[in-house]
Order: sequence, then C-alpha cells, then structure tokens
Amino acid sequence: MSRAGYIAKRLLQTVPLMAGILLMVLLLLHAIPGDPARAIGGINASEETVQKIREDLGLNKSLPVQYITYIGNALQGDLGQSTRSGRSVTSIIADRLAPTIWLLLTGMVLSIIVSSVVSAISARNKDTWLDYSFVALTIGGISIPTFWAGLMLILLIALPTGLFPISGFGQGFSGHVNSIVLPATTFAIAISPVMIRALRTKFIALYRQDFVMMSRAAGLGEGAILFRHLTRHAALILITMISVQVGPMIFVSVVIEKTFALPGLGQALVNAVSQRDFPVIQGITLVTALFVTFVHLTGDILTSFLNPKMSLK
Amino acid sequence: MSGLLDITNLRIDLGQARTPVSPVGPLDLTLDVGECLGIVGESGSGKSLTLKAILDVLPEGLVRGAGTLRVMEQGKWVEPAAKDLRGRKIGLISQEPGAALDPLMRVGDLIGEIVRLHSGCSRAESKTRAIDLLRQVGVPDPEKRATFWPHELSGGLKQRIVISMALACKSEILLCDEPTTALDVTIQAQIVDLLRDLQKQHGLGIIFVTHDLALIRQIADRICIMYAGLIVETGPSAEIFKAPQHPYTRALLAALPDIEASSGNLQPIEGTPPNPTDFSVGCRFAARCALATEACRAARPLLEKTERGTMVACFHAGVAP
Repeated sequence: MSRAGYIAKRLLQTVPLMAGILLMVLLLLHAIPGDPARAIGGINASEETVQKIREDLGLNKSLPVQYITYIGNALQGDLGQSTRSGRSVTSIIADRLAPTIWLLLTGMVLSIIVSSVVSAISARNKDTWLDYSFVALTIGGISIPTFWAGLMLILLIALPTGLFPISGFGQGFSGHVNSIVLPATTFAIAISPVMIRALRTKFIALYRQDFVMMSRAAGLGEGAILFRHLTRHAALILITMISVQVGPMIFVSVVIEKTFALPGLGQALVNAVSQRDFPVIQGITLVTALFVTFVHLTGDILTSFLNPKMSLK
Repeated sequence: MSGLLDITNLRIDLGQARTPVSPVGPLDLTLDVGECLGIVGESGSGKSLTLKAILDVLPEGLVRGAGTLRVMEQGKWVEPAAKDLRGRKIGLISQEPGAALDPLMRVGDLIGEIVRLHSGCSRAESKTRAIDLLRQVGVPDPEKRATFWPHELSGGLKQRIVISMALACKSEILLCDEPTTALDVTIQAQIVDLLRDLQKQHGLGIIFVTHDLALIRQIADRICIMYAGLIVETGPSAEIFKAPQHPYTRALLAALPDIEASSGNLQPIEGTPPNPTDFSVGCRFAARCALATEACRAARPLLEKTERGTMVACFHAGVAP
C-alpha cells in the first residue's frame, strides 16, 4: 500500500473511533447513579425543574435517538448549553482552548528538547558523574508532585525576579509567551524524566550497535553519527513515548492550569465537575478525546515516514 | 614486496580493571601491498579485537593500551592517528552485514554519505559515485538498488554494500572481520571471489580474520595463528598447512575435516581457552597441551624463527605429540 493510501486509511479508521467516543461521552450522563436530571438539578429542585432539565437534555427520548441527535448536533458544532451559566458549551470551549493548547504544545516541545539533549549527553558520558547527576535529577523529577514543582517555580523564580506572572494568561502574544514559560517548565519537569530515562537507554543501546562502529570505522565523526543517524532512531522512540504519554500529559496540564490559574480547559473541567455541569463535562471530554486521537494519528503518520520497516497496511 | 602496514607491540587493555588485564597482545603484525594476511583462531582468541584496535573502534570498555601503528605513505613510513586512517587508508568489513548498515537510511544514501565525507563532492555527484561503487562490487541494477532500504536486500547484497562503503575512498587496506561467516556457502564463495578481484584490481592489502581454516588456506598468503590473545605461529600459508610446528596449530588442523582422510574421526581440542583474567605467566596453551612441561608453565615462549621460514612460540616446536 502506498503511503497516501495508508494515511487515508488511518484517517478513515478514526471515523468509527469518533462514533465510539461520542457514545461514551453520551453515556457519561447515564453513568451517574439514579436519574441524571435529578442529579443535575440537585435534591432541592422541584419536579417541574427536573422535568425541564430532562426535556432540555433530551433525556426523555430513547437512547439511540439521543445518540443520533447528539452526533448530529456535535457535527454542527452544537454541544449543548451549560446547565449553570446557560452559555453554549462550544463557546465556553472556544474561550478556554487557547491557554491549554499553548501549555500542551510549549510543554511538549520543551520536554522533547530537554529529554533529547540530556539523554544524548548522558549516554555519551555513561557512568560518569555527569550521567549520574542527570539520573539523580530525573529521579527527582519523577518523584516530586507537579503542583509542588509549579509552586516552587513561583516561589523561587517568579516572585523574586518578577519576570513572570504568577497567574493568568497575559495580554497579547508576548503576554501569552511570558505567562506560559513557568507552566511549560513545570510540564517539562513532570513529563521529561520518563522520556529521558527511556531515551538514555535507547541511546546507550544504539551506541553499541554494529552500524555505529562501522560508521566510525568509515571515518564518520561523532556529530554526524549522532545527528544524521541516531536522531532518527531516537525520534521513533520519542513519537511512541508521546503517544503513550498523552493521557498523563493532559492530567498534568489540568494540575498546572490550576496551579498557575491559567484559564484553560482543565480549569473549566474542574469547575464543571464540582458544579455537576454535565454538558460542559461532556464537551471537554470530547475535545480531549479528539486531541488524543489526533496525537496518535500524527504519531503513526510520522512513524510511517521515518521507519521503512513499518508495513503500510 | 613493499610494506604497507606495520604494527608493533599492540596491546588491548580492559579499561576499568584495577589490575591491568590485557585480552590481546602484545603482538606484531605486518602487511605488504597486495598481500592477504589471514588471522585464525577460536572464538575469543582476540582476532576480531585486533582488527578493531587497528582503527581504534574497540567496543566499550576496551582500549588500545600500547602499540605503534605505521603505514606507508608515498614511500615513507608515517604514524597517523587512527581517526585519520578510518575510511581513507583502511576500510573495515564486519561479520554481520545486516547489523552494519543503518536500517533507517537508503543504501545509496549510506554510501553517498561516506563518499561526500572523504571527497567533499556535491550530493548529486556522490549519488553517481555511489552507483559506480555498487556496480564495482557487482550489485546488479545498481541505480534501482541504491534506492533500497537495507532490510530489502539479501545478506550477500548487504555485504557487497558494506564492501563498497569500505572502498568508497580508495582504501589501500581492507580489514575483513569474518566477512563470510553469516552468509551461506554459495554466497560465501561469491564474496571471497569479489574480495580477490578487488585485491588484484586495486593492489589492496587484506587482513582476513576467520576461524574457517579451509577458507583461509585458499586466500591467505601468510597466516597468523592466534591463541588467547597472542600469535603462537605465523608464516607463509603453504608452510603452515604443510608442517605446523606449534601444538595448537597441529591440533587445529587435526580438528579440520579432511575429505581424503580414511578415518572419519575428527580430533577435538579438549578444554577451553583461558579467560583473560586468568592468563598465566607461562604458555597460555599449556593447560590444554599434551607436550606441556614445567618450563612451559614457568615462562612464556616467544616467537622464534624456524628453518622453514615461519615463526613459532613454543619450547617444543616441531616435536611430534
């Protein structure tokens, strides 16, 4: 199969996946014990209010009808209204999307850079004090709770230097950049240690490969071996790691948004959960699932370009 | 014959060991223009390490502890650093062609990279040169094969690619580390023929490491027999096969199946070679040798000339067991 064919096929495969995700999101509402409308309204709500909630959410219709209606609405960008503020869920998500996307992208890029550089240096200097101190740092990074790392950055960097805001998303592009530095650093502290450990092991194994010895014997320098050959192998591992870790990444970003008071999706989700605002919970869950699917899809497509041995079936 | 490579007192050390451990050496090697030197020994005798030490591409933990390496450069002996020899003067061919090529690069690009490195030519030019090299080493349909990934080629073709990379910049010396061991017999013969042709065409000096005595008999002009990191016997191939002097060489040849021998029984060498950490002050073969005496255990015999033009390191050289 050609690569274009493979990509088309992978894209088509996401359609049933999306349908499954939408079903799970819809069932979220029914996962609450008892009557969802009553649960949303609260114990003190009158019977009329509960009935109204039931009609608003379409809970009086059969499940297949609810499902088809939900898909139809979602395709038109309508994810319902918040039961608290009455605003449309789509507009709430649109408002909150930017800080989260910023955090995830800058955090990921920073984690990739840090883990590639550190693991390559560690592997080249295996079993030296430099390597050991990096290993100690990664163990530290894995061990400390994310919110604590964030608080420490606020206490030790933001407050004394005054260079970075301690909360909010700032105004304009430079404001956004400025306010994302510490959250992204926190993200990297939480995510890169695992990547460093995996990549370090991979680099050490790669340096023992015959083809590295043969490249040296043919006269290639260490730089050429690392940047022209080993980076491709490392990139494959990184792509897999990111695909696998995208779940923990989202969890970490929720905690970071709370720590730095970033007005992102994670904060909106936490608020919605505490207020039992189910349409908003459903909407954010859907967006998150879409993001995870997108990351996996991108990872598979990139891998198909990098790894000639991958069968494009 | 004119000299090409001269190695004296080469020793390989275990890097981190507290008490010095030297799995290989000290040993001397010479190679003439157009000559094929065979190094024969059991697994673990240090023959592959010796080759890798020449280019200083030893595995992690091992270092070239001592030794001077000189090459002939325009009529003069010079002593260059190993990294200046790599791919310029000396090329290496390894045992496992499958592992010797980066699996994530097309073979044309792999060869092109080496060509560009040494000649500094353009990308387009290196592509044509790569295809020329592929043709030289007998790869059919080289334009098409250059676009293949390593895993799409057979073992024999992969080994041809490795050879073309070793030759990419007109190396004068080819170090062959069991280049045919991983290949099946018919392909083995093709690769050996190719190496011989290249040797004739370019006047290459070849050091050929193997444990295959039958093969070395065909191709080597001179032979070094290695045991436990040392050369125990060396000399012209024909002489060594006709009249081996060292008990180990005799035992090796006795372990070789002979199609004309009436008795079908092979004689294995009892025991195993010693571990580098257990090397004794005496002859390292003494523990497995039927002729060993107190003298053998007390001091190590050094290589000495025999009247047959070979060199042997044994107090009982030539004595029939």
